[in-house]
Amino acid sequence: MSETLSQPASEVPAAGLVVEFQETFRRIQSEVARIVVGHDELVENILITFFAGGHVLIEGVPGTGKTLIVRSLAEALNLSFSRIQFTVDLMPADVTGTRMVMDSEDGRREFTFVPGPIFSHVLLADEINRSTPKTQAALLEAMAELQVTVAGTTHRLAPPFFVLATLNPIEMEGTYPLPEAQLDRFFFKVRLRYPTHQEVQRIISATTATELPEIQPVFAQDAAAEKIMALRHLVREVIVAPHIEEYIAALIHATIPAEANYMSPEDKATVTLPKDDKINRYVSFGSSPRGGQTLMLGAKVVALLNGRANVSYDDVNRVAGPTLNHRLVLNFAAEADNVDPNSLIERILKSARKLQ
Amino acid sequence: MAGVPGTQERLALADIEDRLRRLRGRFNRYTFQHRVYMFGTALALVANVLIVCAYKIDLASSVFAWISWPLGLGLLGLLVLSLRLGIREWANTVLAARRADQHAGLQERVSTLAAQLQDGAVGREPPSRLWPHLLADTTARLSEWEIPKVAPGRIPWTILPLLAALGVLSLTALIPSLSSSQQDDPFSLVSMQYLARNLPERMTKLLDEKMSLLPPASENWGKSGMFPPQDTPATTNDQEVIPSTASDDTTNPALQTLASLSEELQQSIRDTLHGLSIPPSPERSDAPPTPPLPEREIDGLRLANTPKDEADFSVQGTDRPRGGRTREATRTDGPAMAGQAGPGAQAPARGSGLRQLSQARLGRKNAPGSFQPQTPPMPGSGGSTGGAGAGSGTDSNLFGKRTIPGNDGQTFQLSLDSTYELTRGGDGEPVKYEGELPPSKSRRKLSQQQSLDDAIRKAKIPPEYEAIVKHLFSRGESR
Repeated sequence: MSETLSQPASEVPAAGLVVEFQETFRRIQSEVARIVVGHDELVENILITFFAGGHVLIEGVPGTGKTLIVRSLAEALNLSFSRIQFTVDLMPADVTGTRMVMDSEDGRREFTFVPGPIFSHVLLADEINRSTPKTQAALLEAMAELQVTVAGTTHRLAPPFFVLATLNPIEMEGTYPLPEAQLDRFFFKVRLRYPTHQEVQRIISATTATELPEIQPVFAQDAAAEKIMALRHLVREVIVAPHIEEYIAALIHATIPAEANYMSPEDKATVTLPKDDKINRYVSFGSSPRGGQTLMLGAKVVALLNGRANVSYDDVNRVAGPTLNHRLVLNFAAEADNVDPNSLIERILKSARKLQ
Repeated sequence: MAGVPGTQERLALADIEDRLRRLRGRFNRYTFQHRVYMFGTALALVANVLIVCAYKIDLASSVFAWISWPLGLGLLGLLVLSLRLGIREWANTVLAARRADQHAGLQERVSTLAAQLQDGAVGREPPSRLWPHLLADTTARLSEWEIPKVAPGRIPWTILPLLAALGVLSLTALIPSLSSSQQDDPFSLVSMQYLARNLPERMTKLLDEKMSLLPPASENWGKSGMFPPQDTPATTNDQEVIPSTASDDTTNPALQTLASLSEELQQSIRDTLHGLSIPPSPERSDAPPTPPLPEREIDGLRLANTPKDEADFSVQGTDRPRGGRTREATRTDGPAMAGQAGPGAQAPARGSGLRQLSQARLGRKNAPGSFQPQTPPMPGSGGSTGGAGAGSGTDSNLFGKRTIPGNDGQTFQLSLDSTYELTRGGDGEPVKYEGELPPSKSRRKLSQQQSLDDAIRKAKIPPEYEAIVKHLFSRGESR
């Protein structure tokens, strides 16, 4: 496997590329699973986001293994890892880095940029909603543009750059919920559920013994970034038929309520879905086109994972939930009726079957 | 070949392209059939409705136009809709491939490949490094989407309503021919009930009639037993028309057909038509068999037998057909019936069946609001005004041109409004009229015998009434 991975992707036959991707993916998944008990689907979603080039927002109660998952992933990928605990007094410079007066070699004092924890491949932004919007914006700008600007100087982040932010759904006092525009920058939003009875038993057993399991890196440290970028590039080469693109566009439009503002007056789409009553009632704003990009890239990863060079409807449906659930901005009526965004997405997917 | 760009892809894709082409043909054939059957069903139903309306409603009336125009426009709209849907459902290669994917669960492999082919991926720079994998993957799964599996050769289900509609249409078209000629409206409840009771018999008879119309001898084609040519024997008086000779009837294929029926069936036909229960005559076996008239001819004779309003006759002459027709029918029915009819007899006593039928028809004719022709019917125009026995929907000149000998081709019309009369039995005694007396009609030129049949004349005056009248008249005289 290691020989296969070290071989340049361009010289590998097409089928070999697909197999290489599948094996890499499964190996990372299995390595993480040595530490993280359960949460297989969550880990898979995180890896889909990673290979698609996005960032993940993880929502879960404390103590369910969010930090452990991210740390395990970084170790398996053999990438640099840093963690920021977001607090209310965290400043942007604490994330991005700052210019400090340093003594140079010739004895002069000058401002030197000291990179912040954001300059790593894998970043865990723990409880991101506890910091002020200013600090959040500094992180989100880096996520979107892979660069930070400090004192007028732009500093590029080394790819691959992967952010896993966590949200604590409890203890909402003193928090700053992420604005919808910033939520949109996260590829997936996944929920970390409580472990099952058996999983808790395994966690207790595995973490209290004398020998703790260790993670074997999938990539060599010096070649990891390059390999990962090659695999990310391969994802984008998955072939998509026009009717799949139409389907994704119809899904995105179906999330927008009928009476929404800023609707285009002339929309001559041929493949559309009827507006769902519940969408019209509970949704203030639907998904942005970025949601469509996310659907496409996520579906491509799933296609490769299934050994195909083309995207299918099932691939799109597979990633629709984590893609769209944080992109639907629900209104007060939805909160009053305790409406879950996933239930609305299920309705859309159900009505979209006739387009397949 | 090997050096030509895209050759390998072409070779690999040859089977897929061929299969997609055949799949597309099957899908489109099915779509075409489906749409044609649906439109054909609607067409047959509309034709069905129009046929029924043509019998129920006057063709020249606005009601018929109000019905037929929307139906026609609806049919046109349905045609346009069918065309639009057909065009929308018309499968191109990608759509056929999508259906193949859906049927075989190929996860959009074939459709993605077809879309790439449609974009001209072959022979150019591959759209992706994964293109060969897609090609190989799809080619390896050819066995999963065999054409019989994806698009089995089946007939659209819409053929069932089409067949049903065509069956109903055929039945509707046959009902006028199958129903009794005594019925003006073959789609009335009475007619339909009668037809339902006698459907096999009527079918057999209609088939025989149609078969008998095939010309066995060309010289008989177009000749009529009802309206004989000029050499028909002259009439003896103004009420009688001497029928044509029996030898002429034997050449009539229709008569031969009726004669070929069993005795019981013939008797049943006569009973149905005349309500007579004729005992079998011993002379019948001795006498040479005279072929009876077919039902159509008997109907005509019976209609001609009824007294008509004077205004209904357009020809005044001594050869005007009247009660003599009855005698003709009586004679042709056989020696037994001829023996029962006396010299002054007009017709055999009608049975209850015919009387009820006549009364029902009279009631419908005289009912307020019922259909009455706005213009006097022209001789020979339309089935209902055709010659005696012509029947509804039958060519009025089927048995030849209806001219009266010696009248220079002038025609006359037998109105169906005056088909009631009081009849006498074969022994010349008046027959008691059992039903309600029909309304009085003009009988100015009735024969003496017919005048004697007048109901008022024959009615007994109650003594009480006579006493009252006499008392009133005596008071008037005294005054």
